[in-house]
Amino acid sequence: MLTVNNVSKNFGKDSVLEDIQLEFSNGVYGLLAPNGAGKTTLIKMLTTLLYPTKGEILFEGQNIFSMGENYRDLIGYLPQAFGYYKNYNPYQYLQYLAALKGISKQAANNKIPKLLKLVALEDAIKKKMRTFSGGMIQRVGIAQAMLNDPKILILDEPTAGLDPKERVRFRNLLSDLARDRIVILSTHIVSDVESIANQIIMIKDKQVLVKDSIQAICQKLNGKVFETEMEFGQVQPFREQYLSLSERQENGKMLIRYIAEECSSPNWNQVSPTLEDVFLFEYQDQVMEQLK
Amino acid sequence: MVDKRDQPPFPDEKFVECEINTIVAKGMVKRDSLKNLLSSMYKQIGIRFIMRDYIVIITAFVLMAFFMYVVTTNGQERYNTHTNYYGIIMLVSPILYIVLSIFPFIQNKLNGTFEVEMSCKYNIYQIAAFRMLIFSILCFLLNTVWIISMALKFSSVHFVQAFLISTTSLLLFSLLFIYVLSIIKTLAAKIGIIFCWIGINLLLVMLDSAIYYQFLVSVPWYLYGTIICLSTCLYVKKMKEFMRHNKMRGANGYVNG
Repeated sequence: MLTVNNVSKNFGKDSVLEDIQLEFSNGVYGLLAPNGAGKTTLIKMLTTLLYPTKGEILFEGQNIFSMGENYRDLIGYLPQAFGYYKNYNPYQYLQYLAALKGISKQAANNKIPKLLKLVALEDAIKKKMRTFSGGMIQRVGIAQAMLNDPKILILDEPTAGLDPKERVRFRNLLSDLARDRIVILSTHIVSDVESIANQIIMIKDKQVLVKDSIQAICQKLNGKVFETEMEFGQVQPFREQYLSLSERQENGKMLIRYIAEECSSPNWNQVSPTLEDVFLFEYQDQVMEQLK
Repeated sequence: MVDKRDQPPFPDEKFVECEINTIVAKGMVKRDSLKNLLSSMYKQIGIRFIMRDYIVIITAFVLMAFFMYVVTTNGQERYNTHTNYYGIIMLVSPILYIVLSIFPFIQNKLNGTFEVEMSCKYNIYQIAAFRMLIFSILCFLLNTVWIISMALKFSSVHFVQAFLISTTSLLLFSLLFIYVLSIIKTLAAKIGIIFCWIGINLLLVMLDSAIYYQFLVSVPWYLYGTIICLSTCLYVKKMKEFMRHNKMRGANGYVNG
């Protein structure tokens, strides 16, 4: 079990995270928050790249910073910006990282082709990485994170640059891996975690807003999400009154999905809330700011 | 009420002490010696990846050897004025070490591989420390060969004096650099300090070569010897601390914490 115990992080006078309290056991955890909420800072502390200003992080009761290389031996990490040496091919780069992870040459040579096949890069094994697309680089990053068969797999924005087909393959892969390990997946894209995460962690105002299953989180908006059709001219005043979650044109009218405290019209259809609805509701200020 | 006869007998003091010692021995993290740390790194990573950029290392080594050859063959001995070869030796001795030691950090920065490499069992700082130790030996050997050839060509260059100056310069810089790596956060600041060292030495050679020459020859040999011994001890001590510390914590933690 990985435990984050009252962890806070400051950069100089700026506080980024305050009193974070979390527990992780085997399964997929989706760390969901808008950009700048402190996801990467938390991830960096979980990978020992940053030291908490306050609190401690424990793995099986031991402080991860005291465990040092023994802890790093247990983790697989894909950073948000995955760097690579341009002159290396993926095989060479994975060999290099396997050596840094303390994996023997023979074990690495057995494992690397399997991993590259798993991420559909078996045909590009000997190609220089400088010729790779963003998606291919990201897949090398996913492969390297799994090199040491980690007990804790930490992925920061792992689906950036992946096409829809690759995303589906990646999600299936994670679901499979999470049976016997902790998978922490940080993202601001709801669909990345909606279908695979056992639990969702949302961070807001430097603190953990919620840590629960998707069903439990969606319960929060039960009976408050509606859909209705209206003329285009009515849309703007409606937006000012209610939080619009999505809008699309249909049959010459606008179909709006929105949040309201109660059903005020027979034309309103109550619908089941989704994780995306909750995300937009919780982070409406930040989302509106990003849209501006 | 529990019957006293059902309770296990309380162990005697000797048994308790023995158990405590076993728990403490199992719980304590064994501190590896520097030799063991280096040896396990060598076995697990291998020289192929410790010296991953061997082409750059060989190129830098050949260029420095060529530069030393040019300085030796083209240099002229003037009898009226002193050409401050000791100042040049002081300036040049750690340059190859500087280039080779800072290179992986520059490469790491340019390629953005820092986070991935730092989250591995062996991180870039541990490897850098290993490499620095090898480079200091390599540079010491190259400098010694250069000094021998200088001493053979120029009668004003005395081998012992030049050797002491060169070794002092190399060791002092090595010591400074390992402290810089431990304390300074940014690559730009690290490079800045390197340029300061080179700049100060270059200024001293260029501004008033005769005074600098007088200073370098007036320092008694035993003082050079003391600096060399002290620097070596501090360097090895710091190297151990550096490797152990980075074994425990990520570098961001190391510099932030």
